[in-house]
Amino acid sequence: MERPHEHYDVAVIGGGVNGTGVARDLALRGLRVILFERNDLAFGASGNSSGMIHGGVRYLETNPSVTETSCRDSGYIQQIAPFLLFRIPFLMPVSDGKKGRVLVELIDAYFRAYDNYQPLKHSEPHTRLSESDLRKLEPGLAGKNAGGVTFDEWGVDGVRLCVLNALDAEEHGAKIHTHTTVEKFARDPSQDDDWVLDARDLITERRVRARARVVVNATGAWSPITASLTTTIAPKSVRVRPGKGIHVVYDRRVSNYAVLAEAIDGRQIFVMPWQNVSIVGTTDDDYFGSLDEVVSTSEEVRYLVQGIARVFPAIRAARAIGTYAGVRPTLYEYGKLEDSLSREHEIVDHASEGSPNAFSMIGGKLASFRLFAQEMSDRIARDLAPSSICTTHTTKLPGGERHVDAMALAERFAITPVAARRIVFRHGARAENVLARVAREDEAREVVCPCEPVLGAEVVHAIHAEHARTVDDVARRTRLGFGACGGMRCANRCGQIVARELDLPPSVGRSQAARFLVHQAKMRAPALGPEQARQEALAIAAMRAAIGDDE
Amino acid sequence: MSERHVVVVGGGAAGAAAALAAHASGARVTVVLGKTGATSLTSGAIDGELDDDAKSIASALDLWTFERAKIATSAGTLRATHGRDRALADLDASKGAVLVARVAHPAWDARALAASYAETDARGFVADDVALVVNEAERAMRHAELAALHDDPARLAVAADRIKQALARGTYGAVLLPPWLGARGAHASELSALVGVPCGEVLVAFDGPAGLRFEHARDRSLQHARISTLKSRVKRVAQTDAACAVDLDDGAALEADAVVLATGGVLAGGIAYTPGEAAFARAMPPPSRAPFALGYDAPVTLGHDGHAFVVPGSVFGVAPESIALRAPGERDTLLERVGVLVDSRLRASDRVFACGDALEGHARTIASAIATGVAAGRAAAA
Repeated sequence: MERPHEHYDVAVIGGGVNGTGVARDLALRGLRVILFERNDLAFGASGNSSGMIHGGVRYLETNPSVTETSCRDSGYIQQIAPFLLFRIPFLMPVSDGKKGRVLVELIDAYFRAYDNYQPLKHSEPHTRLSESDLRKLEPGLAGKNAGGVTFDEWGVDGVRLCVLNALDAEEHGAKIHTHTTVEKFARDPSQDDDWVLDARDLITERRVRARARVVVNATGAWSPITASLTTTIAPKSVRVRPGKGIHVVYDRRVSNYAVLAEAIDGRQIFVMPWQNVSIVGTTDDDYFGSLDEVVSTSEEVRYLVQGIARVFPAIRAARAIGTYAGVRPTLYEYGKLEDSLSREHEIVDHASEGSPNAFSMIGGKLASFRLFAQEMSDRIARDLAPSSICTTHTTKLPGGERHVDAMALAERFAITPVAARRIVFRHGARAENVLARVAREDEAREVVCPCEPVLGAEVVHAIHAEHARTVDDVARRTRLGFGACGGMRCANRCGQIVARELDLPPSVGRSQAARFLVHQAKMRAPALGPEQARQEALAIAAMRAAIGDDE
Repeated sequence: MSERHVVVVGGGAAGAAAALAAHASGARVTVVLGKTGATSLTSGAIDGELDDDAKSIASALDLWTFERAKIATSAGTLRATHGRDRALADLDASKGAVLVARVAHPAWDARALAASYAETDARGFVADDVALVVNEAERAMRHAELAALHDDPARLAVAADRIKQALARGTYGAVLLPPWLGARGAHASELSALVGVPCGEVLVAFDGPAGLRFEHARDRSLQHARISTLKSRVKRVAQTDAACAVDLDDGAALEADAVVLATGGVLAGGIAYTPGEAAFARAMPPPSRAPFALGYDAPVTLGHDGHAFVVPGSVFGVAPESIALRAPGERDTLLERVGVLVDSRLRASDRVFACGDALEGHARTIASAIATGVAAGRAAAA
């Protein structure tokens, strides 16, 4: 079934932070935008990063202007979505080797230089620490240290960032299609050489055809695959070097500070408190597998835990409850070590290959997404809306309009302060829209996922207001099922709600829940420890009890 | 001739069955009750056939029935079992539409369940209000607490009245209820008699009252048989040519002619997953060892698929993926296959027997626990 062509100024392919970012920017400039995402918003690297809006401290020596723009943009993101950012104080211990003292001096000086940029992102200046300071702040540190420094960075939920960008784009007229894969796109010479995109909804099998003046390939590591869907763009012009990175998740915040450590090959890794858990990251390895199904391995987990255990031995006794994995769309270079590859971004204009009005956004990182989106949008607006200016750094993201008091909301809607606080963190001022459901219906008060806790209202809100179409989508937006029980207590209930709200047969909700549970089990297995092994055995038994013996 | 003394370590389904079987065979029996295990978290479904001897031993618990049944689950499925906790509804035993009780409790969505059951069964499932939850405090209770409330006959009578009110609004052949029909015992048949229509629980996977009902039934039946029990955890089991010694955590020491290990598998903690990297933190290279260990000392060998563990070929130990995930073509993960190696009479060494989840190569089900428990108890007493 083909629907009549819909006409747009720009078609964006990809629902990560680059795609949603550029869609928002263009929509704010008044352009008509359609966005296609093959899986879900933030499905790839954007939703599986370390979740930081950092200031680019590593570029300070080689390219301080990158540090400056990174810090400035971090400040902008705080302004437009203050509720979504949380402080992550870092600790960098320096071991008491031969050059320990000198190294502390050098690092101290280095961070003194970084302090110049910290006010741009409302961060505290660094502090130089003695051995005893270090111990006081983080008693779990191992060995003898010469000293160290603290420095201040900001954490963010990358999924929420993408979702809010997509929502804002939508509120400014953009059309968002998730779970919709573009199957081919080509210029139509009979219609001013507009691009015509043919897409298919992978859930309903419905076909969507859209016509757009400009097409933007913002598909991250998928970029070459996307380029191959048209005949006039050479996939090699959008080469990326997919770099897989995994994180290990622990059941609680195991340290007070984010602590930096060195892996066995000298790479910098970290353990850091993030939302209500701790995460250890990250690896960077060339990746040659399927981008739609990236799983961690125990080798990667062991590599990370071994490195962290040298400075923070308690990590071995902590309970790992899972892992997550993503693939970075690093700019292509052959023959370089993964870590020395650039995390910079680049816009490819395909006009030179005979494909005018087609662009690819290659590379980029969470911290500079807004800047990258602005660069891309400026280029597109040059032709389509020459008088427009970028307002993404001054226009609030949905929820950033004003501050809301979580405790007052808790009282007003008679929910626990923990639930209120986390809804405010995820939705800002829009928390009231979420909780309005609680006022309307008692069922919305139900705690669906006790680990977080996620309320029924938030699940329903994700479905009706945030493009969640499956249990997996709900989990991504709400963190339902990401706790210690791995979804055992909530996935099935969530499936019931998804089926009810989207008018699907109950068995569809059930099979979505089962698929989610199996995926979570796969991601947990590589980090399996003694306590989690018992939990795993219980999860298997529970699954068998529900489905019987004949599965 | 003095009677044999059999010590059963573990009080789950396997331990209880072993104790009752050894007792029935004429042995003097002592049961060491540890902590919560898999049976305490049972859903109440019996998956697997049992022979007549096992059924008659297990009937002493007065808890389960061993007839094929069709049960409804809180996951929204209808499924067959070989037997069940008596509180669970058997939909094969009734005809006509089924009333699914709608109650004001967040862990229960009768409309979703009714719609889900109706997908595979045409008899008609109707969700209708039954005011079983009477106040805000009960709304916040867990299944097991609400089940305990219904141990009170007066409360059960109130429930019956409320159910009858709902039944009057339609024509029903059965009533499906949340898992609240008693913590000390299953009150489904009393309730059904009061209501006049068969009433029963929906199965919940791990947080229902079926495990509590088991613990009460076990305590009653052991007491009735005058089998002595100790609440402690086992530290060490040792054997000589003439006897076995069992040392407990609280310092007590038992002598026995035979010991039955019913200490459970990974879920219960009887078998611990011991990843190699823990040792890696202290020693390089670390000592080579199997990825699993018994939670206490005993003269038995752990293994899987019929053989003992071999030395792993990695200094970090076995890859966890191969432990927690099913390999293609395998029915169970290694977490469920690991256990004590035994001969065909469930003998792990001369005087030590094993049963239930502690065994290698047996399904992690109540049925398998009862069957192996009875067999091990009989063998230990002989």
